[in-house]
Amino acid sequence: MTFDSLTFALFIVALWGLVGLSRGWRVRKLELLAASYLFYAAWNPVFIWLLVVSTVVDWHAARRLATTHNPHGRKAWLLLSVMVNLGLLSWFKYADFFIANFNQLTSWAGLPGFQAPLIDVVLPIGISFYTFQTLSYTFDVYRRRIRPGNDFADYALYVSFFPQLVAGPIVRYEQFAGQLASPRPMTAANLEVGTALMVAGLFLKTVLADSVFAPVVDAGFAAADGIGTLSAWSSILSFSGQIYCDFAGYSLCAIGAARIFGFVLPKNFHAPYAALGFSDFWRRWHITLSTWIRDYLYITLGGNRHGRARTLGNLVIAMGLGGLWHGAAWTFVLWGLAHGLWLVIEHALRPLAGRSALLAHRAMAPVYMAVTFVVVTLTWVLFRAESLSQAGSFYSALLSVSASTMNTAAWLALATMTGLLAWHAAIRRVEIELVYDRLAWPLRGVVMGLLLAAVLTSPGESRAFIYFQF
Amino acid sequence: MQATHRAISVIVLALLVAGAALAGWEWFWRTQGYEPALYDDRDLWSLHRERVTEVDQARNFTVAGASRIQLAFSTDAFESSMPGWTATSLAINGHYPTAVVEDLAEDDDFAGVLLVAVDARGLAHWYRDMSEPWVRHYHRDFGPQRRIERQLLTALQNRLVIVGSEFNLVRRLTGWLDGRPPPRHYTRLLHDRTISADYQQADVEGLRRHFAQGLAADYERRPAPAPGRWRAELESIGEAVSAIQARGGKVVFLRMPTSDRHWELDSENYPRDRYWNRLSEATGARTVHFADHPELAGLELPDTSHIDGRDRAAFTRSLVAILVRAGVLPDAE
Repeated sequence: MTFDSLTFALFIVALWGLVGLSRGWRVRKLELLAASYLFYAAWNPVFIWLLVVSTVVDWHAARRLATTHNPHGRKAWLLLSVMVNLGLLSWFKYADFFIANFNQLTSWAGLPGFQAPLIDVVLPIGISFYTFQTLSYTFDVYRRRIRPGNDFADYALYVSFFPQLVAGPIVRYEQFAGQLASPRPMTAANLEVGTALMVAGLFLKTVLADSVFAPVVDAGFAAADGIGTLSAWSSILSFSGQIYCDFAGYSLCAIGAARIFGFVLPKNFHAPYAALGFSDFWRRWHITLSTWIRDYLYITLGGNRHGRARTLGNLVIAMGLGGLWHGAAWTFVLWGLAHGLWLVIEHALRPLAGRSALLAHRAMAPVYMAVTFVVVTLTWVLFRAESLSQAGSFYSALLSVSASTMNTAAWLALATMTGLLAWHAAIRRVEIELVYDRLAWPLRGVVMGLLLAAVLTSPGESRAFIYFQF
Repeated sequence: MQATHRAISVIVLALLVAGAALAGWEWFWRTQGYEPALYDDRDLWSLHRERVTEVDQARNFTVAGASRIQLAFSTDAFESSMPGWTATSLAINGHYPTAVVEDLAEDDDFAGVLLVAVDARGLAHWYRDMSEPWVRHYHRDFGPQRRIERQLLTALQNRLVIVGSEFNLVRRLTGWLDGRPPPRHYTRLLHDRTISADYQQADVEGLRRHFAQGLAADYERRPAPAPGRWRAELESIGEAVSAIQARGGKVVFLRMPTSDRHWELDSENYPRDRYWNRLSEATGARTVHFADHPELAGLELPDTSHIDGRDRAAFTRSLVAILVRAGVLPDAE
């Protein structure tokens, strides 16, 4: 089920009524658990079993990890959890990628007879997210950062809680377990804030991402081979807007949906286009994934414990694998590696900034912000392109000087992107919920009403949330 | 004001503001003469695709094709001519139907009569995968939620102007800046996914030019394959026909009428004797060519390719009579 659907509107209203009227915290949690499975089954009931397998395996693995003291035994239980989750992910998400690359290799090696057929398997939505979420649980139990849960139903709800199930935020058990321990307050205040967050998220998704930015992006990339310079720039700047509004919009909806039931999910975005450098960008963009990669991949690789060269190498590897997580294509791997490279360059230049009063001056902040944004935007080409050759064509259009004009839609997208950048710069140190709280209630009602009206007057082609495919 | 009252007041005010804005938006477009309209998409197609295997296969008539049959066929006229039968349109505007035929062939639950409205050009390799994304959507993406969502959307589209994608706020803003109001369509999608056209509302001369120029350019870009290659590439569709007919179903290929410059271009590029006339032999299916039936050849085609909505019932009745004579359909009498 997607948040930008009539079905979801009916679903959440009915569920809120049901849970609100039910007595007893355990009953409410079981209702939320059943509703979460219904939410997932609404897309394709067949894939429920994947969620069940991931949940059951990690529940048992974590309990064994907690009670086993033999290091080899503990490693075996951890390995089981990793293999089951990454095995599912590999089969459904990466099998065809590996087969296609194998076929390419055998062709290059002059062995055309060794061609394997593609599997063309359906990618179950959310699999990248819930497998990473359950893996964080077993990793944390393995590292003895947390104790395993005592209630299987609570754990199942942690894994499947519908707001975060299919596209995050990726929630850690320690962030959720405490909230399951005592009844969540389904207050009017939570209803208001949750609704406001959902409306804001839907505005980002349906009005900005789908209606303002997507048409300009789609037109630009469809004509990548012959696109003019100006059109290419308007297209990729629009993609910066689209990808942010799409995914941050989804995250806001998820956080809002959880909030109306009294749950607090972690923030996933915080003004990423106002980042001062690439480390700062990854502290603001898809925060729950970047912290996952840091805690379970970068640190597992050795982090910064083995010298400077190894640290930088670990950064690049972690970012490259992070890129692969986004999609089974070399364009995503290159996108991740490019970000790894930017982080390495930033690490290398950081001592220089420390020694120069000019470079460390506050007045340089807008320059760093602009450089970060432009480089991040250029790197998005790899993320959006359907192939390396399309990315190449697009880069050559961006860096050439050829005549082209921009239509009204492109100008509107650029104006909106400018507004978005100004908004990010304004809120980079501010918690948006506090800003909302300070507004007079009539103003909150009018703003929420206008945003809702804009959402409802923005019908169009059904565009899936971009991160659903990851 | 208490926190609880304040929160509820915010939500109520928001709903009132949104409701007023929506009502105003709807009222504005209605005063401009626009009416609610149904919009086609892959979910609506999937709903109909799902239906063709749920009905009685002994009395199942399914139509595949593109805009010509979508504008010409009337399920109501068919079902009144053939009492007890169910007719379903799987035609897709602008998409030749090879992938749909192959999909139905792979579905063991389909054993009805399949009318495939196509021309020799539409069976060439250039156009074979056109409807494949729709088929793929049905098999991979169409689940319980999309089914309910589409039914809700249909109910809203039948009642509200502003649910149409052409009335999208941003699209209207750019349209207003460019001086482009929402288009006024001469076609109307009906509940059964067929389309009724009113050519009295259309720029007929403009459409004739558009079709002739577009077709000429397309024949230049995608020239007809040699007859031998064309026939060889019918192998997979022949297998599809065999599969359906082996289950007791029937497949009929129908060459819909075209006229004037359109027909001239078709005949120059795909001469009937070297292409269409080989289709039955290559696939094992019956074929019906409009030129062999005066009741089809005599239809008026305002834009050289499609018939007016007022002729849909007459076309459908003529088609039923032809299929009865050919033994594809039983005589309803």
